[in-house]
Formats: sequence, C-alpha cells, structure tokens
Amino acid sequence: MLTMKSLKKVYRTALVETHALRDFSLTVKAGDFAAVTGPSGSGKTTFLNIAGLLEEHTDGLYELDGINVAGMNDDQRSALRNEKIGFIFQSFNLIADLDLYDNVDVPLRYRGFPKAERKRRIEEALTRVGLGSRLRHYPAELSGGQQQRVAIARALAGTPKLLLADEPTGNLDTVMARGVMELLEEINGQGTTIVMVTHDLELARRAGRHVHMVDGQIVDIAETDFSRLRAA
Amino acid sequence: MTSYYLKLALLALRRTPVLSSLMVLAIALGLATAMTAFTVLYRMSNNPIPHKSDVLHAVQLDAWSPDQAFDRETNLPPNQLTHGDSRRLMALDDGYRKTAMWRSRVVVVPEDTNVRPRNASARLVAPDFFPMFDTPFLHGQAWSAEQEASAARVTVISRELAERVFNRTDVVGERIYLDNENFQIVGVLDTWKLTPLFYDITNDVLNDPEDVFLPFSVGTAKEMDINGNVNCWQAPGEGFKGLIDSECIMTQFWVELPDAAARERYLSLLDSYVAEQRKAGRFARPNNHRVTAVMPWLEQNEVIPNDTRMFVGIGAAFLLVCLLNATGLLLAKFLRKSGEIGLRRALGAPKREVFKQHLIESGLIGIFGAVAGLVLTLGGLAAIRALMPRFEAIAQLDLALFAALFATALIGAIAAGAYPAWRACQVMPASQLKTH
Repeated sequence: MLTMKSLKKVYRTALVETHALRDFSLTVKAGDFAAVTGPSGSGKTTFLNIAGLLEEHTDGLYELDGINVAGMNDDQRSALRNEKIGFIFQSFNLIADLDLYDNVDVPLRYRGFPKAERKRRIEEALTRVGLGSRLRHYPAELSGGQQQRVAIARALAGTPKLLLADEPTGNLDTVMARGVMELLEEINGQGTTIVMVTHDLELARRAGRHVHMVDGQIVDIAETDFSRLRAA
Repeated sequence: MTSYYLKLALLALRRTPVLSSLMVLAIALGLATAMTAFTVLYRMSNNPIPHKSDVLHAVQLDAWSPDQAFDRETNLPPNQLTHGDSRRLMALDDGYRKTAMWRSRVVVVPEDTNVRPRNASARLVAPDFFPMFDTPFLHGQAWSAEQEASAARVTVISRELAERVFNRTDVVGERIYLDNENFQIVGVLDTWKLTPLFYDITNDVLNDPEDVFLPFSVGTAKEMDINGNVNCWQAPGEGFKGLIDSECIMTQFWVELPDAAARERYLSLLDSYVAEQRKAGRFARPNNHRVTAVMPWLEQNEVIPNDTRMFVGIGAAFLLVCLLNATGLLLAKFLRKSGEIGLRRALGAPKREVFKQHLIESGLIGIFGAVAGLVLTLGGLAAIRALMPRFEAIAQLDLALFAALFATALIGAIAAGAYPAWRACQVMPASQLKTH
C-alpha cells in the first residue's frame, strides 16, 4: 500500500538546512495497522505529511498503492489524496459552520460523486460511527469523542485504501480514546490500512506494527502477534 | 461545484456579518460615487439629437476686432453672430433649412383674470427651427414663411404652457396675450428635451426648451430683450436699433446641411458673403468662418464643465480606493480561515478549486455591493435633483450605463478578490492542520 525507499526531506532556509527525514524506508502492506512513535522533532509529522501527499519529499522513492508520486502536479496529487487517503487529525478539524452531514460531504464534493451517491455514503459513514441520527447537528453540539467519530466518518466516506491518523486520541480522555481506538481497530479489521502517529506507547502496542523514529530515521520496528493478544 | 461554492460563500458572509457588511458598503459607496459622477458626465456628453447631429451645423463668422482675436488662445471665431449677419444670412436664397435665434422672455397674461400673469421663456426663431430640431408637434404646425416675413403675431407654445393657461392642449387658433399683445397660437409642442440644449450654449445647456416660440422678425420688430450673452468689441449705438445694427454678437445661427457637398457649397456661400461684407468695410480679420456639426460644437464649446470632469476623476479614484480597501478586507478574511483552507486541501481540494471557491465569494460580495451601490446611486441622483434642480434632466439613472458600471463593479470586486483568493490557495495544508 505504502512504500518509501531511502526517502529524504530537507527544509532549507537562507541560514539553516534541516534534515527532517534521512534515508527513510518503510513498507506498509494493505490491511496493516502501523503505529509510528518517536519523540518530538523525530520526523513523525513530516513522514505523515509526505505519506498524505501534503508535502513533497526531497529525494528517494514514494509509491502509494503502486503509484510513484514523484513529479505529480497539484491536481494529480489532490485527486490521488482524495481517492486513496483518509485523514484523522488530533484536533478533529471539523468545519464549525457545517453540520455533520456537510462536514462528511467535503471530500466527496471534490471527488465529483453525484448527489444521491454522496448522500448514501454520508449516511452510511455516520451510521457506522454511531452518529446516524445526528446528521444535522453541528460539531459544537457534540463531545470530543463524537467529533472525532465524525472526523473518522469523513475519512471513511470516500472508502480510502489508507487511513492516516495523527494523534487521533491526543485530545480525548481515556474512555473516549479507548472508544476511538476500538473503532479504528474495527475499521482496520474490515480491510482498511491504517498508519497512526502517536505519542501513546500503549496505543502503539495495540497496532500490528510499531515503528519507532528518532532524528528522521526508523530505529525500531516491532511486529505484534494479534492472535496471541486476542486470545489473551 | 458553483452552487456548492455559492452556498459556502453565503455561509461565510453570515459567519462574519460585520466584516462582510463593511466590504459590501465599501464597494457600494465607491460604485455609487463613481456611478453618480459618470451618469452626470454621460448625460452631459450625450448626443442630444443622434439622427441629425451630423447635418445640423452652427454657423460662425469672424467679424471681431481687427486688433485681437475673439479667443486669443484658440483663435476660434465668435460663437454667436451679430444680429445684422443673422438677418442677412437668413435672407440668402440658398435652399437650406436655417434659423437665426435668440432667447428672450415674455409675460403671459391668461384670459382668466383670476390667474396671475407670469413670465415664460421665449425663443425667437425662423419657421425652419421646428423641422430642423425635430420638435414634436402635439397640435398645429410652424408658422409660414410669409408670416415670418410679415412679422405676423403668431406663436408656437409648449404643452405645459397650454395646460397652464387654457387647462387643455388643443388650443390652435386660440389667442394668447404675450407682452401686451395678442398672438394667435398656430402650434402646440409636446414635451421634449434636448440634453444638452446645444442650440444655445450661451445659456444654461441644462435648460428645458422654451415655452414660447415667436417669429424672429417679431422679436426684432418688438425689440424683445436678449436673454443671453451680448459681446461687443466696439460700443453699440443707442437703443435696441443701435444694438442690432452693431458689431455686437448676440444671435445663434444654425443651418441644416444634409451632406458633405452641401457643406462645401454653404462654406463657399459664406466665403462670398464675407468677401462682400469686406467691401463694406467689415470682416477686417483673416477668413475664419466655419460651420460645425453638433458634437464637435459641444466639444469646441466645452459644454461639459471642468468640475464635472473633476468629479468623475474623483469618483473613479474613490471607487479604486474602495476596491483596494475591499481587497485588504478580503485578504484578512480569507487568511483568517487558513485552517479551513488547509483542511479542504488535505481532503482533496486542488488549488484551482480553492481559488474558484474564494473568487465566487468575492463575486458574491461584488454583487451585493453592486446592488447596494445601485440603491445608493438612486439616492445620490435624487439628492442632486433635490439640491440642484437644474440637473433634473441630467441626474437620471441610465440603464445602459448602470449595466456597464454594474459589470465593472462585479469585475472590480472579482479582481479585488483575485489576489486574496490566490493567497488563499497558496496555503500549505500541512502547516495548518496541527493548529486548526
């Protein structure tokens, strides 16, 4: 699903050159649930931005679902991002003026789906996260956990192959965080690939793969045997 | 997507009502000021008689002082003729429609003694005046050449005067008491306007046409006042007779020349006239006579006052300032929602769609501004009419001009929004998503 080989990302200013990613290589297979951890400044967010086609890499190879993204223009990157990737952010990033229905509708609008198709997808996605009865509510009327569920519904509505989650439980209390994590696991169980950046080692250990980064490089990859965990 | 962007634009306007109102107001004020000024200029520079402006010609002769030009700056000949030149040119059997004229004033005494006498504007003209200037006859017709020659006491009056004096318009054959003398009404003119009133630029060109028209010969015989400019380079003789036989200029003279050949023929006729007058000791200056069609005539005489042009310049500059102000406000508004823009980009919006969305928002503000501008323009023109009644005919909204200015406002607002929209689509999504 996601292949990065010898990837580099360098930020340059007139005075400073910062290597955010150095010789970064990672493969995430379809259906994986990978957690990326690391201290602040380790390059986690840069990795996520490049993976989500929000930034371009400086050097190396990045293939998303078998497509080499190097040299793509803004239209192509936007279309690929819209079709293949769903985003979940720490601060939910819902648009306050739009109700839940219209929030989930945002990525579908850019996809060009007809109205009936969009309606079906929005209702399905919101029902899937347990908010099917609150289509016309506004984000401010929901709890943090519910808002994150809306963000997950928005990410899922376009049936992306890859879900990128940036500290998805960072703004939630433990009960809500557990609920969101269970929802992500359920989505992963249904076949969606998930890459999650987190500070929370507890959550990271629940992922199938745990990638640890320091100074823009991967220093450790741990695989988790879920069959054993589930049995436990 | 356009309807979606319109919906988003309306939402955005509702989200920031004060800022949005300020932008709409800025555009509306700029547009209203510019439109009011342009309307006045447009009307002033209007072709008052489009279908005949090329054939009607003002006649100018230069019988001015041998020592200095009438207009030392431009060397243009005087803009009026002496009464004597007008009389002699009228007497030429040249076959063209022509009229000498001057503006005067008469006292109208109604038959009903309960109605007070009142002044009315009058113009002394030849009968050709009416077909030349396409005056619309409601009843009757112009007086005849014979009546002109015999200074018959006949008149053509305006519909307004007929209604005021007789309470009806079908008054041909009736008699009206003007300046202590009875005149027979031979025609009634329907309401008409020439804006600007080009046939006499020595009077206010925003005047309405006169209420009373009398034969030129009657004006001369009755020694009627001259309500216009009388300019002399040497002192006239005593009394009215002395004035009309002097070198003072006081009458306007128009001739209808249907084509270039007629124009050439008339000019050569003027050559002969001037040559003949030279023999009598007049026209000491070099040949400087001419005929000038309506639009060049208006231009030559700078009918549009300089302060009107200045007002238009100020209006245009004010509109520009308002649009620049709107640009600044839009920029602030769009950059304030960088987080949402970043999110939309992350969710798959290409830059061009973000640009389009914000351009539509700018356009919507432009439409609201233009509509509000129209309301303010109507108010501005009404204020001008109320404060300056002489601008009554000028300060009227012209739909074609409004459509052009509406489009200009819209394009201006979109142009004003283009830079902020471009800045909006340059937002780096990655940098906004953490902070949104």
